[in-house]
Amino acid sequence: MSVFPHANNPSNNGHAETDGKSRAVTEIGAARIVQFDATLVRKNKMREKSMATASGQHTPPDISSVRPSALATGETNAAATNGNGSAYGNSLGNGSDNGNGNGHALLHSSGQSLPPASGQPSGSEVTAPAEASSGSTLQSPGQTISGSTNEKSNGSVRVKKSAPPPEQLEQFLINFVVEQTGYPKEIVELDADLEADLGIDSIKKAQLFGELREYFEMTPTEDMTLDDFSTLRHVLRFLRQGQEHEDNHQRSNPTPDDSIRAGETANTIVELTPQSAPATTTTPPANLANAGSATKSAPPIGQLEPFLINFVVEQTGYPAEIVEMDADLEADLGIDSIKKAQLFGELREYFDITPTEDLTLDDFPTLRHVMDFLQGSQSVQSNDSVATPDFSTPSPTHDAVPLPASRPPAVHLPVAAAPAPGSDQAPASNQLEPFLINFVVEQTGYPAEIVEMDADLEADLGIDSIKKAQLFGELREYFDITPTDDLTLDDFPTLRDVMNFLQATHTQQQSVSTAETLGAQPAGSIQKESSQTTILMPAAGAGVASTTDASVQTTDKSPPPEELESFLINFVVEQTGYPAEIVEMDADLEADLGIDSIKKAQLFGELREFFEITPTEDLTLDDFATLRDVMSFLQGTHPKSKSATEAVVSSAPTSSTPGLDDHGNGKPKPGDANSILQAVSQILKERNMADTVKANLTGNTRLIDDVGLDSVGMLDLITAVEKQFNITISLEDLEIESLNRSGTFADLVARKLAEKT
Amino acid sequence: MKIHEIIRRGAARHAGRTALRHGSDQITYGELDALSDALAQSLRDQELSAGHGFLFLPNSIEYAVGYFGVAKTEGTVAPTPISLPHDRLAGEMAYCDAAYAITDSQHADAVHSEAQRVGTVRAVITLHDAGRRMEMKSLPVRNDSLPTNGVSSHDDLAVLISTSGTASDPKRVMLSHANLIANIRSFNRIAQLSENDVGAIVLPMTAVGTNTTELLAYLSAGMTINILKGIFILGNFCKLLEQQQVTVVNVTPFILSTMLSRSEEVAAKLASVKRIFFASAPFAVEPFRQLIAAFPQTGFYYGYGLTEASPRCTTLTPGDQPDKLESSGRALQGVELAIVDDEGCVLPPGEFGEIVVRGPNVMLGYYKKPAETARVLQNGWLTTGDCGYQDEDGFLYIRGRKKNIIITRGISVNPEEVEQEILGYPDVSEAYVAGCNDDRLGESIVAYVVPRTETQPDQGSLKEYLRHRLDPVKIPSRIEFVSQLRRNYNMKLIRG
Repeated sequence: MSVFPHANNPSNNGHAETDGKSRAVTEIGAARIVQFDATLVRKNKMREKSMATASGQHTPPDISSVRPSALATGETNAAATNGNGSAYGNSLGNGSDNGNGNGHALLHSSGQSLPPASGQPSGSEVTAPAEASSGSTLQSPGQTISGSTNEKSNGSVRVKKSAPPPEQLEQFLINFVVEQTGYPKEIVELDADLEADLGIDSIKKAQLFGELREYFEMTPTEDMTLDDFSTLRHVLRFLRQGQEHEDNHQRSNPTPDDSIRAGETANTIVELTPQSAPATTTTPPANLANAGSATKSAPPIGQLEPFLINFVVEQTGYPAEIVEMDADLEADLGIDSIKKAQLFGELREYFDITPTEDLTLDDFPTLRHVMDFLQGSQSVQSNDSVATPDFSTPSPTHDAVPLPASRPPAVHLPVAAAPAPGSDQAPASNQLEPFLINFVVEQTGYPAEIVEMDADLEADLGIDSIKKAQLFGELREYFDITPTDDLTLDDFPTLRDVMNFLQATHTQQQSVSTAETLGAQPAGSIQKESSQTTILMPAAGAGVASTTDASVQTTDKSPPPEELESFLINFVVEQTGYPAEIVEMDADLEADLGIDSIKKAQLFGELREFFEITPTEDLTLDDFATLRDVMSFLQGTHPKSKSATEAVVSSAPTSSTPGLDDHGNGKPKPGDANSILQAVSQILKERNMADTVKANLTGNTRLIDDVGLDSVGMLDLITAVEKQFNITISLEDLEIESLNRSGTFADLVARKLAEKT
Repeated sequence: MKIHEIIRRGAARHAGRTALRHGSDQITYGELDALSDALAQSLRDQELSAGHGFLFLPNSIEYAVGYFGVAKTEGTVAPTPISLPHDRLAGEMAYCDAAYAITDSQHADAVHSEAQRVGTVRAVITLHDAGRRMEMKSLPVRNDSLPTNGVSSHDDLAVLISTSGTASDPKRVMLSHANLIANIRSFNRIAQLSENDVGAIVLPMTAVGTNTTELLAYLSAGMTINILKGIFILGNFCKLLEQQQVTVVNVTPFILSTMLSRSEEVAAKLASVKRIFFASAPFAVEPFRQLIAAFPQTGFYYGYGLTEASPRCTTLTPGDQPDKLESSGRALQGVELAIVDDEGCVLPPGEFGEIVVRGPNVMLGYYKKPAETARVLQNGWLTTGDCGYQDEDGFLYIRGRKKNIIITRGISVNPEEVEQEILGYPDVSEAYVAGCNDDRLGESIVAYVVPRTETQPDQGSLKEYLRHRLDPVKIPSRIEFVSQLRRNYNMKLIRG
């Protein structure tokens, strides 16, 4: 039977001694096993920890240098006789007691190590957690329960708990506030009014008590409220009283037989529960936030211009300075119709725009046109909801169109509020208020101080109707409010109006079913509509028609169909997340796979990048109903540059790939992308890095996804390639996008080789 | 406190803040709360509450939605490494008593077909689009009773984390909510994470370190987490850290040595990174020094931990360096450490023995393995199987291992599992697998193989054979053919 370190925390024992308390020891034969209540220990320890931090003291406790093995041989009775039962387990932590059992050890008591300045720990700290052990000196949780597992009846327990010295508790509370608020320690005084001076509002205060409750294991009582504790000193006084009370309690129950129970009850010593806090302390307005999902925040009109410009910058890499609102997107900025379609796709997602049938991409030659349209559509729609039927149907799901101020009043205005699952409580006004204010702060960046509940949102806070619509959109998500038609934005000039409304609806609607929430939908499925279900902004047909410039020069060699096929399927899988199995070459992209024309335009944009296709004017997206159509088109094209290695290496004349000029003669030179691929394959095989089959690379083989290289394998491969070709691959090129596909990888190597010469 | 309350609180305090970002996808705290609520509600509707949720997802936002969704049903999360070969899914699910499995579209079919072989699994849920869409496929009920929490006395059971079990004998560690919360707290005493920090997740989210000291710790600090897309490639890693102005990241020694190989370029990209944590394997002193010199603006925190301890036990902080670079640091607050001899007696500083750990972070036990639990958990003390000593200042030095395990790339590998597979190869009569110190991997796996005949088997085909049967990380990086293995008088293999 092995002897294990005792459950007791290092320096408790000393404290126990100073308090004149004793603990029981159980001996079972020559060897002892000390059992303990892990939960109790943990709780006590947490308490100690916080104390330790507060005290800022990190001095490890002394411990006895006596090897416990000696104890196990029976020398240890003394430990029991001196009333300290923890015997050898303690040698682990502090050895203060036991060991020799002659009482000397008791000198190494917590009393000694307590003073922060006492400095040098002497002796051997077997226990490492200095903070923990010093912390434990503050308080001696009585967790010693002895007795072997086999012979529980022999076990007896002593529970002891002592209060931390006042100054430690003080520090603890101050630190606590510092942690919660980030205030410098200096400004936190015990007598400062928590609310008035320290700005700890009732929510924060409730949190503080929640935390304290966890640390001090307090259970709620009914007779106290947060208001009873206006300063830290009040709290301090209360906590100390609680501890004294508990100490008394402990002293009155010293009998070993009762001690296990005493140990349990010891956790409930301090009974503090601010009335307003009990449940809410830990989860203040948690129920307010249950509903939100899929929030897309669109820039308000004022930010539209930079947003649009940024978009172009991101797409083109042009410096922002040269992107002007009035520049022609195609002629001046080189944004072709595919890119333009992409832009509209993005805008659609941001602004949740519904399509109309009468517009085409060509109607938007400049960014300013786009902006005007966006602004116009918003104002038009908000003025004339009937004319825009797409917006007029309020969706019962809370993820419906969060934004644009399409028809702010009618659409976004909350009328029926359904509490989210679990939110069965109407939010208290003292929680709602900061919540609403914070909300405005987050949205506007205004300092919280200037946001008043009674300020007029528009006139005083400059929240225009768009922003306001956004705010309501967000609130709707938080509170899971279903729209109705009889309220408008104008009904809520101030935050207070909003709050009153929310409280009212919550109260009324508490029982409103959760059927409207995600989880409760039929078949247990979450039907989270993506914005894809709304239609694209510029009329679909037109957008499609004009994004069809993807015609290509003809090629003399075509990639093997099966590789191109898997490439295309993978492409769709990546874009859509559909399982590859359901993506068939002959499926209709739109009808079967749900790839709408914008997605399709994006797909072609990507394909164009992969295959370096130059646009021509005579094809439209509609010419490619299925992947097979795309494939036959690609096979009939001449890949301009990348395609050589991208599509299929073996068939690749790549004008843009250095060193690949002699493809036709079938004798690859070193530096030829094809020969590079072979070299890479060879490295993989020689090093047994991949199955011999998988190591036969084509341009489409993905080193990570297909061959199965991991980070280490990839690095090994790169290192080997660098060595073999005597090149250095720079950090920028060390990216999955360049490395995964063998074709791009070989291109990269070829490029480095060319740079070298 | 339960781990999912982290999300509730986060959503209450800053719903609009981005919680997780993965490629172009992102999700706010509010959404994460709402979506995990929705998932939990669906599970409740299917009467799957409190069941064990088998999570088979790659690093993703969906992972987090699934994770907290399960937790919110008061269920237990069983995160499963995505590298697990599909033919082992059924075994793992059965061992975990999974009531349902959560996966993504890429793995849905495999999970579904494997789940049908497991009586307890009642549904397979597929998450798409950052958890915003969900499909649930019910499986025919084959067991009348719903397997709930397999160990009824542990109503606090939060997760079942994988350790280095074998195919025939999977093993998971039971960690409670209290374990995890305690470890987050003591970790954050050192890490000092705050909402001003920005995190990045690079390592598998199923690993205990990522679970506790990243996912949960970062979210509880109100941080935004950036999940690296795809495997670790230095360029992507640097780009992510630079673009998102990441301040905190947890890595492996392999990543550190990769960084070091291009330290100048990398340092320029990592200007925002204030703290780098690593734990899974010791790092040699010399490269450690170079690292500190090459990244002067970054603090390096090395630590010791193990799955059974949630996992963090010690940390070596920048303040402790450079004198103690060989050490694994001192115990975290709340964690007690001791070195014991073979009889379990505590040894004084400087003496070599086995490391034992105690604290609120120590596991409840191994799932359904009371005997193994009893072997390592006695009186609250966890015997780690690692050996070493503590110095006079309480710093821990790890110097070996008692347990038969190889830690490579931060992952524990059971050598016996690898041996078993090698023995299945036709031309092999005996095999012995061991770890070998490796700067990059921590340890690399070396196999000593005794051929059955005089002709040596082909190394390549043996490796290829293993590749079909083992997790990639478990494939030996070196195979040596020997004429015999060392055995003791009992003919038992002498290890080490």
